[in-house]
Amino acid sequence: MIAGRGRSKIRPPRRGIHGGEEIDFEQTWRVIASAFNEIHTKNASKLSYEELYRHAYRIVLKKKGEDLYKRVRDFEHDWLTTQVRLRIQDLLSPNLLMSSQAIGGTTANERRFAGEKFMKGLKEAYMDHHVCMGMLADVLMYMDRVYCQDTHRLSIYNSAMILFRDDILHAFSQDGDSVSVLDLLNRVILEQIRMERDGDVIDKHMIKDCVYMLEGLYEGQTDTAESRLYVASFEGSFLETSRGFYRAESELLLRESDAGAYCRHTRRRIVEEQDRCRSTLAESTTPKIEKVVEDELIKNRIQELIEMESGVRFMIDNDRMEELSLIYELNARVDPKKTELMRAMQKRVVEMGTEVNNAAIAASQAPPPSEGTDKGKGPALEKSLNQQTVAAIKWVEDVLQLKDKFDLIWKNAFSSDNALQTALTRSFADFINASSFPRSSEYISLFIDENMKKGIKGKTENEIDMVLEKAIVLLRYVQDKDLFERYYKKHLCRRLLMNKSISNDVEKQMISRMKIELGNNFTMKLEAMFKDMTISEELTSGYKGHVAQLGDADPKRIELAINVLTSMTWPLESMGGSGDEEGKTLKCIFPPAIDRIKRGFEKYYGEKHSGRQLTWLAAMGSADVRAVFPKVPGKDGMLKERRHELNVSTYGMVILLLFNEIPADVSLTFEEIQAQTNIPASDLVRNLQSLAVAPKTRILVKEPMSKDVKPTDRFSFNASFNGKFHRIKVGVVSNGNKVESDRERKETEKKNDDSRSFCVEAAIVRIMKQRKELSHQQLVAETLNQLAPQFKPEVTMIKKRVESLIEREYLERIENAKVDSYRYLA
Amino acid sequence: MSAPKLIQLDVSGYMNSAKYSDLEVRCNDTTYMVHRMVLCPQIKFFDKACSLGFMEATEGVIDLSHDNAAAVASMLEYAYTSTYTTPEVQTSSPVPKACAQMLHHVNVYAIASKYEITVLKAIAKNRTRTFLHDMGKADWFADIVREVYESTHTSDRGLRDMMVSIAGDNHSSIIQQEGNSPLRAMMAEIPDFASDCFVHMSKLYDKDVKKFETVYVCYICEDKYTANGGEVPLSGFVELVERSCVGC
Repeated sequence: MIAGRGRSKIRPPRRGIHGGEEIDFEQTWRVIASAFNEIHTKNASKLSYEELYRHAYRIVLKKKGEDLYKRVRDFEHDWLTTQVRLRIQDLLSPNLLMSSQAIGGTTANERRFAGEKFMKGLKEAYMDHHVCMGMLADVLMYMDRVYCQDTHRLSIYNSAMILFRDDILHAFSQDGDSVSVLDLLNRVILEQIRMERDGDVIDKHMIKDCVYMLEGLYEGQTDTAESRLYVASFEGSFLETSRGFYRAESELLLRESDAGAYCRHTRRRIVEEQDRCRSTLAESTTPKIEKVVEDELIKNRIQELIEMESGVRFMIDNDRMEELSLIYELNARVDPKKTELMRAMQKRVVEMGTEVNNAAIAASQAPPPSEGTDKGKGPALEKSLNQQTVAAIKWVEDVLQLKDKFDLIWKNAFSSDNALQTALTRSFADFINASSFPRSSEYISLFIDENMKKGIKGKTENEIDMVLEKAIVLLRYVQDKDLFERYYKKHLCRRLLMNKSISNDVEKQMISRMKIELGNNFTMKLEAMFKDMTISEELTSGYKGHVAQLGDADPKRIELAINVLTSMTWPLESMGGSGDEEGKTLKCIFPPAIDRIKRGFEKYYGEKHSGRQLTWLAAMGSADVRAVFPKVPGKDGMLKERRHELNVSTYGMVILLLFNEIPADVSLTFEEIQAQTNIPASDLVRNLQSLAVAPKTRILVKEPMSKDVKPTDRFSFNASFNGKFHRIKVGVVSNGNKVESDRERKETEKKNDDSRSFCVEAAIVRIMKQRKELSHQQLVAETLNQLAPQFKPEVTMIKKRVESLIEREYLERIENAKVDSYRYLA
Repeated sequence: MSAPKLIQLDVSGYMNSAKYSDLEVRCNDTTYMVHRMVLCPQIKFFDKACSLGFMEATEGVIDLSHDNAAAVASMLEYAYTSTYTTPEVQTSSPVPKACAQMLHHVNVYAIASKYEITVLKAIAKNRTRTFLHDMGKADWFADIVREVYESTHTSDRGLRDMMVSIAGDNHSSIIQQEGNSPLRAMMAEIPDFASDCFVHMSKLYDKDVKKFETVYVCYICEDKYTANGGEVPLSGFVELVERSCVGC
């Protein structure tokens, strides 16, 4: 044939090579097997890779792959069970085999030494097997690629690894013993880890090598991550023993150390376990062991930990920032919501807040230092504030201090956690709006009042800003904004009318801050008050000009400064001294000179704004009166006429002018004065007290001399009055903003409730007009929602308003509805 | 880690050059001076031979005398140039040029398959295509088929299918050959090939005629008809059944 005839570079087929001659399997296998023996005994350098590769190739090419595969496996099985197993069994010393409970005779050190030797031997056996099988697999590359793929066999390497697992690791350590080499290895590693946890130094590297082996071998036939021997055999018992260890440790720690130490220890343990996974075990175990530590040291203990004597409460009280931040960190590990920490913190906020509240109540109820309420008269008393007001301001400062404290903790220890901030806000709102403490609105308003009148004197703009900001901060917590508005209006009213404010600018700043915080509606009326003040100034100067033009150059002319107030805007009832019904119906009889001016202004005003009615509030305002007292001998013996300028209330002026009309020695009774002036009795009493009882402003003489003013008392001009100053201010009792008495508060609340009723009704009508039909539940919910920025109405109040609206036929009940529902009647 | 930098080198100039050579490949009396950095990354066999603790690694010599010498040369050429040239055939040679060339490609294919050089395998397979159909009628086709079937594993269908297909295409001429013609003798010698041909032909057969159709023949009037009354196929594979027709 053609073969053999060619002399070209290309040779025709040589049958001899490829199979004209059948290969002798047995003979070839003997060559391969002896080579494998050499490889296992580390003598590979004498072998030709090409030759072995070629032999294996040809066996497979001649369809003997199956036989080859089987022979190789048998060879390995044989090698492992005869050679390797013996070596491993030599390492099993009695020290090692003894279960850890029966440790008795051997010292821990001997046992540890035996363990390390065992691990070392096992690791070397594995590494040898691993390297040799790598070489075998490379020799048998063609078989793996062609035969194993075609027949879906495991690669020879994997197959050999399974053999190692079964022949070595799953072999029993001793005949008749149920402990396998693998069990033993697990036990040794666990013991070593236990030693390390107890503070010993162990050979991490060696354990890591053993873990590497366990990670390279698989349980079953598949190579999934879960079936790695490390996971299937070791990891579970590692986690289990760790759980036991940490459970016991947490118990001990809780008993023996304080919360801070516990936290520090826990954190150290977590870091240790993370390090251990990295250096000794496997990274994939990190999250699992972390969870075990977290469960045992934190999750199951966090409540106990927080409630310990040295727990969160102690840490908050002593500003233990580092420990608090540890607690936060630990709690966050097991609970993203930090429920336990949040609860403890909220509890403490409310506790401390309630303490502040109680202190304020206690301070306001303590007996006043001096008898009576006439503190306006003594200069010493004038400087000190009313006790309740002090309590109010202290309350505000305390609350702010509390807030600062918790803000600092929140920022430094709780990494500005959002949920915790919300919780803090809620807790502050809780105690500020507590039903046991109804005064927060009033106190905050008083705090602002105090600062407006005195506090901000001499402060820089920045400091003032801070004060205002503080007030706003507190205001945010207040639920009943309408109540606050009422108080604020009242206090502002006094400041404006009595010129008590230090700076108009600051007042306006405050208003604009409130506008930002609470909205336009809230500040509209307050702004109207400022507007009235401005207009009044213009009116006063306008009138002055008007009078000057009349050319009436009367030297006795009385100068008039007037404030025209819109009656709806100003809370005047709180201004009118006693606030009696009497005061509103009775009109004060002014002396003729005053009456003239009054009519003059009414005419002037009437020309400017026709149709508006002016009501004169004699109970307010003040007058400067120039008084001349008879000559008395001075220090130098000369007779001297004494002139004083008296600043008195309007009523005071009316009373004094009465004595102008009569001779100096004639006296008037209380009743006569009342009849001639029409001043309400209570106001009259207080004014007469100022003029005739208070020692420094005794312009009238009372007969008989006593502290109280009785209807039968007689009054006459005190010719021998002696004042040290040219200008004398006659104070009238009960000026200035201070905390309300209980009776007043009830009134305020009642008024507030009344105006709330209107708001609620308006809201209900607005909602129903839009929705036409609505269930009771929805209506209540929407009403609450709409009114939230102003206040939180009681549900009973909403119910009452609904009833009332039904009565007045704004709404009707829908008959036969499944749930209570209403319909809007247009 | 940044992406590995891929470098492109023209190493063709180093083929058969002693410069930097750190490995010898021997084949009978020829010695090739080669470079590990060129061979090992491309051909796993060389990589293993040089890196494992076998003799080759220490001695720096790989003996491939058991492989086809021309194929070894082409394999090494491929390693340096990504292709190989078909060797010249001496004109005086009694072997037909086409046959010699075809054999060479088959040998390259075999060596590429043995050492798992996928790209070289594909190149060799492509080269054989140019010969295809004429080959089927040539006497030396049997030699080619024999070489293919002896140098590749059953599961390697690349060239085997090609041979079967050529045989199939030429079935009419093969069927006319005498029983001891080279091809028929080879078929008897290599049952794998015969069996592959049978499978191939069966598939073709199934493709043309979906199934046997039963045609009835009336034994009285000798009319042909089908069960469903359809047209009686004139050719193709039919099963004839004798049976009297409706009319008789």
